[in-house]
Amino acid sequence: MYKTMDSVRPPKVAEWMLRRVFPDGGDGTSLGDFEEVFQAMIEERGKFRARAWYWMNLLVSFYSFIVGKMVWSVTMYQNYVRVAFRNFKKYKGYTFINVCGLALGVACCLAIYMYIDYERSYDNYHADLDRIYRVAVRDMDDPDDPGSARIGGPPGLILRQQYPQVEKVAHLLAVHDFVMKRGQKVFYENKRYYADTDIFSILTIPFLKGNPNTALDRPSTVVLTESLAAKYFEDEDPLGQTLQINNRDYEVTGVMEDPVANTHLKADCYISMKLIEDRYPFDEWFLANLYTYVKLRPHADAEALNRRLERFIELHGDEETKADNESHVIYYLQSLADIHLHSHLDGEPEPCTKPEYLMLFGAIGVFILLIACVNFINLSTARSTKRSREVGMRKVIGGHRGQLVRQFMSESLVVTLIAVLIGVLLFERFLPFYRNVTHIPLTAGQLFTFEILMVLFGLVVIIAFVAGLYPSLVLSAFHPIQTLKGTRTRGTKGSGLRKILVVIQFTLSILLTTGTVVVFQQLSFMRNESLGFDKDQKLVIPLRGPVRIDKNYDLIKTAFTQHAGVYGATASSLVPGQQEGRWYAEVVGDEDTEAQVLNFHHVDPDYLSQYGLKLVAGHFFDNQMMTDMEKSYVINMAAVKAFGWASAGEALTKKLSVFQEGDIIGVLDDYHYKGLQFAIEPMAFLWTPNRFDNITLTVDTKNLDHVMPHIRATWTEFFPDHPFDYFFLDESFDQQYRAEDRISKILGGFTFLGIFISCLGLYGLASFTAEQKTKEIGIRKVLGATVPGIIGLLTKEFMKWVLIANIVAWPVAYFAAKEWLQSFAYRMDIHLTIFLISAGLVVGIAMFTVSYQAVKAGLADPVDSIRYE
Amino acid sequence: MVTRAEELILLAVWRLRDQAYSVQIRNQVMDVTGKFWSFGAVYMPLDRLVKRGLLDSHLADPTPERGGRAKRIYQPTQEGLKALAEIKKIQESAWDGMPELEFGDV
Repeated sequence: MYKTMDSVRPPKVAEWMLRRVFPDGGDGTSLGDFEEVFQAMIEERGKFRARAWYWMNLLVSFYSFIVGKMVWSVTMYQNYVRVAFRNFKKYKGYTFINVCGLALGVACCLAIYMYIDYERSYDNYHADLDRIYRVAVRDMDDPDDPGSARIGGPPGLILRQQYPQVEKVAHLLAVHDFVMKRGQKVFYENKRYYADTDIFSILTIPFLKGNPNTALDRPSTVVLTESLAAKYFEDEDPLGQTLQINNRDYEVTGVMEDPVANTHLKADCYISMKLIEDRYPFDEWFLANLYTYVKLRPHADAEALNRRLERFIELHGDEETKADNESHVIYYLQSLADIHLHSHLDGEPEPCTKPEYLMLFGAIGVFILLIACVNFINLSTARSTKRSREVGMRKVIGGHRGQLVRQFMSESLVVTLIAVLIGVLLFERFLPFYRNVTHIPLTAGQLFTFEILMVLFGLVVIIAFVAGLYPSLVLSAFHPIQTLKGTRTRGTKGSGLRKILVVIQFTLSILLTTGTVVVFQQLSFMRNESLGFDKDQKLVIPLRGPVRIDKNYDLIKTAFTQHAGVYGATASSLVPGQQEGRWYAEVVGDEDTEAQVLNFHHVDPDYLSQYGLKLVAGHFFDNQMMTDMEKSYVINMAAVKAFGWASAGEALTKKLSVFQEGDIIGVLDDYHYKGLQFAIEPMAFLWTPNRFDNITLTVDTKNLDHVMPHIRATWTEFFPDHPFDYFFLDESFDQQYRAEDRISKILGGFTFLGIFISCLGLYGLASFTAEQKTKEIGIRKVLGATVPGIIGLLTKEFMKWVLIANIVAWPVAYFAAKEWLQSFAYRMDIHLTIFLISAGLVVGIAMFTVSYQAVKAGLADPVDSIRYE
Repeated sequence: MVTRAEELILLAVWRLRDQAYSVQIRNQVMDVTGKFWSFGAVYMPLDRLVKRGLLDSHLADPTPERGGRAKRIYQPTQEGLKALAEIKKIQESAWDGMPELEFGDV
């Protein structure tokens, strides 16, 4: 190695890069070239300029390197693409199957991706998200208790006053269903929260008008959403104006944007907490009514605070509270972004989504994509015979294997690109439909975000690779001499793998089908199972906001029943399907029987007959025995069991103490007052007129046209100032199954697509086999084979694999179904029939697909087929 | 067919005789065209010409001013010379009868 005297060397990094790009067979001539000019530059212009020159020229050289390479590879790829398109034209059917299957798969994936992405996006828009939390509470002694999203007042107040790492604390108190009134405009509105004004500095709730820092500082102030403001004030400026909520005047101090869809907290309006500050018991630890949001200071240690919260009662409670905290209640911080998917507590302001469902849908997306990829692999390898000559020819002319792989990979890339394009268009086309089913506010615009483009790009790469790799390896491995000589490498090569793939494909299809059948059956089981009460023909009039009835409820009921179309009426605090209030009930004079949590229903004597409930022992409330009013209890059998009494009769000898002491006068048989997801819990009924919130009318639903005017008129007669509202019990009760309903629809749709894509592939394979066996079938027929025999011959082969798929799929489906059904307290049994139904469905469709080709082949004239080839 | 760049480089190699290595070739084409050529713009066509058998190359002894690296000397093959001759012929017949003057005003 020579060494220059002054030994100024070119930049090391630049040399390294140069060596990478122009290796020159490793002899370093390019390095030499650069250095020669470099050294000359040093003489002429100095070191600095020389270095700059080196770098400049290196970069410029890269440019010509890249362009030079591209021109030539593009030329090559142009050829690949041209050949690909020629092939597509030649085999239109197969191309159609491939593109169609993949496009559907891509559309499904996109749909599922957007669904999952939406569910995961909940509340991710809040500023300082990482330091916003909700304080929740959980009972450590009761593993079945999910905990509550709402807590008592003291933790929030103490956090605000004594914990410097907490920047802001805000309480929310939900009061739903209210009447809003301004002038002639009177409507029921839904979601109202009493709130501290700090809520606006914790959560990101953009104000259109008013000052978020002071909006709720005074009592009787309200912040409305944009749409409520528009509804009541139209074009006027609502700021400073007055409107009535439940007959009380409020000043509008702010207008906020409508809540976005992906937040767990959707409020129509916020009312100042100041209004109830003196009246609400903020010092009650165990009155769990307040949503408590906190924002920590930057860099505050949430973990440390969590550890303090766990012992909060111990640290901050008074003696009485500590004594009450027998069951060991702990508080903890919930990250705001986690609430929608990971909270699932009692009293959530919005139903949460189970993350398992997201996983389920993710899995379905992958399944469907796999099914589509399998089509591609199978059809390409099956047709390999067709292209063996081409491969042989290319090899003889001098194409090496790498180039052939590249060629076949580019074919799969082209197919994939086309499929993804069509898939996106397809999804865009069905977006409104999808939006309706899933209730996700998706817009076409969201399809063209950077993220989605990356997903699509990923899909293209993955599909092209997964689907294209195996066929290209198989095809490029053909031996040129054999293929050209005509010793044909039959399509049988790789047929083992093809069969396995078909089995996988149909296993996935059967899994999806079984899943759908199970969900559908469970749904219809829940809809049709006897609930133990009448839910038909029940028209419910809710008494909302300021509307109250008390002792005059009888008068109102009588007025409603004046019409022949109204068969009866009953007043109650709740109707089935609604969440009731719970309270501890102790048995009087019996220290040994443990106090039980009961669900309390306040009903009038007609509740029994109107809802068709069954009395097991004792008697129900009676209009003739006014002494029972507000004093006596009727309980259900579940309560009898909970207290540990031997029989309903024994219960009649007991006295309960809840708000006050009272006899148990009757026992009702259990009925499903909530959906069948839930077990029947112990209940107690009281006859308390001032707690009545609903009037249920049993009406002649066939003659609603005649009945409704009467009901409406009666309402106006008693409550002239309040809007009339009603719903039908069967509809509202079924709302409890909305989540399952949605799942079943989505699952059903995807399953259909999955089977459809599988069958596309099967159709392709079957037609290929029939084509390959044309001659064989011809000879068989000449020798006396019957048409059914031929059809059997062709079908048998495929059916064997579909049946094997069943055997693989059943156990998996069984365990998956069992797992899902666990979330229902009342569930159907998993019968063999479910599997038979889904297997029959899939086998039937597959059979239909294959037999079309089989019949065509079987009926063909042997003369033509023997002449074939 | 050879591209314009390949043609220029082939010609430069032929002219430079035993001095035909990339630095000189690049200087030559820069002189002829009066434009800047990067090394990359010289290497790529050289590579292609070698691959297509129009040029041959061998390594010469390393020199100190090249940091001890060898030069790669190129020379036209029979094919290359034939290609040059053909280019010349095509050029001449294409230009045949074109009066010089018509370009004067461009």
